[in-house]
Amino acid sequence: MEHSEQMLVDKVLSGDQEACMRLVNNYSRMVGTVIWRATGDDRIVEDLSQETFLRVFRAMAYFDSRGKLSTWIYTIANRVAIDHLRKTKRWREESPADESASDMEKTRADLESPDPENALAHKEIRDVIRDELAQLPEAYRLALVYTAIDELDYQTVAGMMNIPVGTLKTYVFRGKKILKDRITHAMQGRSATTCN
Amino acid sequence: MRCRDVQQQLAIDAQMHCLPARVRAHLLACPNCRQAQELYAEIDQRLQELPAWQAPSGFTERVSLLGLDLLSEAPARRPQSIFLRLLRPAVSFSPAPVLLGLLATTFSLLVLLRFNDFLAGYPDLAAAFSRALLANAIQLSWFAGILSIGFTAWITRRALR
Repeated sequence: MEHSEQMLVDKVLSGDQEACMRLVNNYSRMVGTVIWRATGDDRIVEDLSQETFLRVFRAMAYFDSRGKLSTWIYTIANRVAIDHLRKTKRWREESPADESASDMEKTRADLESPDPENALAHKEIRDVIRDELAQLPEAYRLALVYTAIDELDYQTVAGMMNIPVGTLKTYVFRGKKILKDRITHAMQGRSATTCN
Repeated sequence: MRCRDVQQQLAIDAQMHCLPARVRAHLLACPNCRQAQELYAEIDQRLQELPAWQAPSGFTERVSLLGLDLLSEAPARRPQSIFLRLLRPAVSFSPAPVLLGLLATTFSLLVLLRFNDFLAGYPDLAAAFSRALLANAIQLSWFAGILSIGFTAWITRRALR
């Protein structure tokens, strides 16, 4: 653990309010992002992020200083998200109505591009990925969405999911392969329809 | 190179500049793998487009205050026993030498003590001990060697902290 992290942990444990705020401020964005990616539901991110930080504060006295603070916090966020998923039994599959403004912007830009046929294919691929992500086994889906976060490397994600890096890479490969096969299938179906 | 191996590599490191030369060479010759690469890139792009979360205003203050309340209720840091404090770094750094050391210790002690022989044939305690020591010199040297590896691992681990 870095010296600054150790100092932060010690200050938090001594009840320093500023240190507590710094801890929440430093990690809230990533904690929320991890939870959002894991659950696919933006409505519960704030509550689950708060729950994560409360667990962090409760367990801070037992934090093993040989590990990285960030990995430890993200592991707790992952645990909180998984607990929520087990309780609600499903990953929230975004309906087209939930499509974010940026998605719609992108689709509009695609369709106005010089090659609308190709743009339509891209939009379909995006839709297939969005739909199929919800169908993937939990371990594959989490491996895919976590490793797609820029700030998280394979080592950190493996630590969060409590699996070896090799296993994580296998999950990523299998998850992407399933998505690739489904996209190929969808595109073949589309070209058959176009030919008819 | 087999297509399956190439596609596994593509799924894990889709960026072209990260790929080994033999994978890039395979891609030039194999249209199926090129198509897979395009799809993996599309999948990566879509996954990376998922938005990041921004904490709403007041979140940090509210959560840190709740955290402070919890900290005041939480028990103090649990003290570790001396045994755990000494053994844990060595075990986590290099468990094999430590385990071997423990096994060798147990084995040597069993051989050394040889309770039955001891009780039956050697009434003199010091003579019994020195005879046993000589008879088991090889095992003892093994034990000492393994123990020293374990100890070295422990010291190294302490130094790296």
